[in-house]
Amino acid sequence: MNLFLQLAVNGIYAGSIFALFGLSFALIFATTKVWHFAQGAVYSGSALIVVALATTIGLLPAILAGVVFATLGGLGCQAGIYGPLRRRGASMLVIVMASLGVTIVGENLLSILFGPSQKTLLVDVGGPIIAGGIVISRAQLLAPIIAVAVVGLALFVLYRTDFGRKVQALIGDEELMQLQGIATGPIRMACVAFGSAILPIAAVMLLLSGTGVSPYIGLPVVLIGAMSLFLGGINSMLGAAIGGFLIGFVENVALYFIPSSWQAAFTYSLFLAIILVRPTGLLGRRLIQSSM
Amino acid sequence: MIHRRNLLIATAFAALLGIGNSAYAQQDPIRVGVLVGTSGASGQIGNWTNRGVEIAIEELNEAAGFQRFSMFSEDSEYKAQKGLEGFNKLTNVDGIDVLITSGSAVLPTIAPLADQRELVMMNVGAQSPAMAGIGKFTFSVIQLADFDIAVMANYAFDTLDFQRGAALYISNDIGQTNVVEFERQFTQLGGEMVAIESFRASDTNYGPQVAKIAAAQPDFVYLVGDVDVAAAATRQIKALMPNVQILTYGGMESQLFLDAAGAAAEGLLYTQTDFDPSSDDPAIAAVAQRYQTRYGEDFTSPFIGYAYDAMMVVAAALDAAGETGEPLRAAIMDRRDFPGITGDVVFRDDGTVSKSVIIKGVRDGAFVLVDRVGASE
Repeated sequence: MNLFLQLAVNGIYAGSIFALFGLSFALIFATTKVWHFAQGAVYSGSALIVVALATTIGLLPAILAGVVFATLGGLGCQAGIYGPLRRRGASMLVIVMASLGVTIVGENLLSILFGPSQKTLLVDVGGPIIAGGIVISRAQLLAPIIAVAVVGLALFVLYRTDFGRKVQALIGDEELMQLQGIATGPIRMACVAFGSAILPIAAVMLLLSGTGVSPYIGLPVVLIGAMSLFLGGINSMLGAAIGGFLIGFVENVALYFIPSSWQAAFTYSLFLAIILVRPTGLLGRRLIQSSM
Repeated sequence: MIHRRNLLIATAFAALLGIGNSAYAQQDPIRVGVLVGTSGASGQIGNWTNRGVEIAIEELNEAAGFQRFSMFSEDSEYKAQKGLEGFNKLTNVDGIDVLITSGSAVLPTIAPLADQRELVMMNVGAQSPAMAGIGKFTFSVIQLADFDIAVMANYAFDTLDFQRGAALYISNDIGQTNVVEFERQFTQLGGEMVAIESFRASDTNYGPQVAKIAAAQPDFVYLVGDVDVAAAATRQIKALMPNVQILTYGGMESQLFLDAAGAAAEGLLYTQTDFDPSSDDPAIAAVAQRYQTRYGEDFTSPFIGYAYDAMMVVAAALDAAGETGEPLRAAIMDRRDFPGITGDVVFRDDGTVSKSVIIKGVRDGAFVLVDRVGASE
């Protein structure tokens, strides 16, 4: 087996999924300006629903159920918590703390509903393809295709449609839109819905390779999403997707040179180095000011 | 008002005469604390422990004809800080007399405090070799991992004729301790560990580590992790190395593991206390029946048995000691040898036990006895 090629295959796979995490986080953050920690609970909840239902109603309906849950979860956070807090003049820090609170409550509720332990998806998707000693699972084949399709769709809508232009305007200057009498709420909610709906799709890509899901795996996903956002460039959807891909790819390929116990330290060090050299991220044009 | 005053006077008079003191003392339950992780990834083991203590107390109270023991439980999440908080709650608020606990990260924190308070503490799940002699008042009902690991390393080298080993372990004290000990034992026998990789407790994808292990072409992978994590890792190991032998330890013996690992669990080998929950042995069958009646589930895990045995050791020693604290500790050390459903509990000077260990495995989706070679101390 060629270890480097195998790690590269793993890296493309992980990177494809991380690109979806990055896009999801960036889309919600750019349009709501909320550090959406609760995305973690939405992610793990939707993934657990897929696992729970896949063996009884089939994989595709289970994914659909996961997408519905994630969409409603994201919209619920926005409409039920962030929106009311914002209207009552809460600072961003308060909203962030509320989001963190939702995550913790959500994790515990999921633990009660699904149990605290990791679950795996027991659906047979066929054996791996072995080429030149490199093992490529079905999930590894599927993930880059799904990632390109989802990111491509998001970018097409963003840059080629009227709705997308409104989203860009919302990201750029919401007050100006409101002064022009454009209702920004529905646009924001649509972005939150799409950003949330991506999560179970990413989760399924991971689950199909034997990766487990538990109520407590959400926060690392949020962290990857946030790192992707900063690495790619704040307010750049393409940048966040590329940032996510790079994190996943580098994290895997780096193991060719370093022991796995250094994997996280290496990835974060590289991230820090890039951010120090280019604080705007790879594709970002400007930094946003903290309003906390 | 008059009635209440009369009652107070009568009570005070009775107290002066000493009437009822002995009867009250007899009926005041011994407070048993249980400090285990009932939430988090290893929550199932903690819940099994709670149930093991519950059915033991139920049996003991029935035998006594009154509530001899009462139980107070706290969730440690198997974390040191949460364990300390739980210990303080159990000792300061609930006023426990005895503690049944586990968690290799928790015990080092609370064992010195148990010594200070002269609180007898029964370890029913922490297998780190560091548990040996950890506290004067701490007794381990479960055998420690170094013995299990030596059995497994010998089995891999001598019986399975494996020369090239690899390890995949969870990056915490338990994982590191186990893998270091396994490497020491296996290399001492003449084997070689060709790849050793770790993962974080929060990781769910072990693809990169498994790829590195696969590249080293080992005969087997020694896997250390929590049940659910190990199940996911087993699936990922088998996806990349369908023919590699996976070796692990007894903590995997649960339906949760079989369900989560699926077909990838087939052929897995592990060490386990020589204990069969479905045995015809009357003592085991009675406990299994009580468990089934109370919880509507089969008695499957030895962790239920360890907890049950620990409670029975406490009760038997209390019969001799008459009170908790130092007399109870001394009674345990004086007697040392207690019967148990997970095997006889024979305490060494350092509070640990020796029990027979066997090789078990997964065959046709079930846990079965594989070998008894070199399996007892």
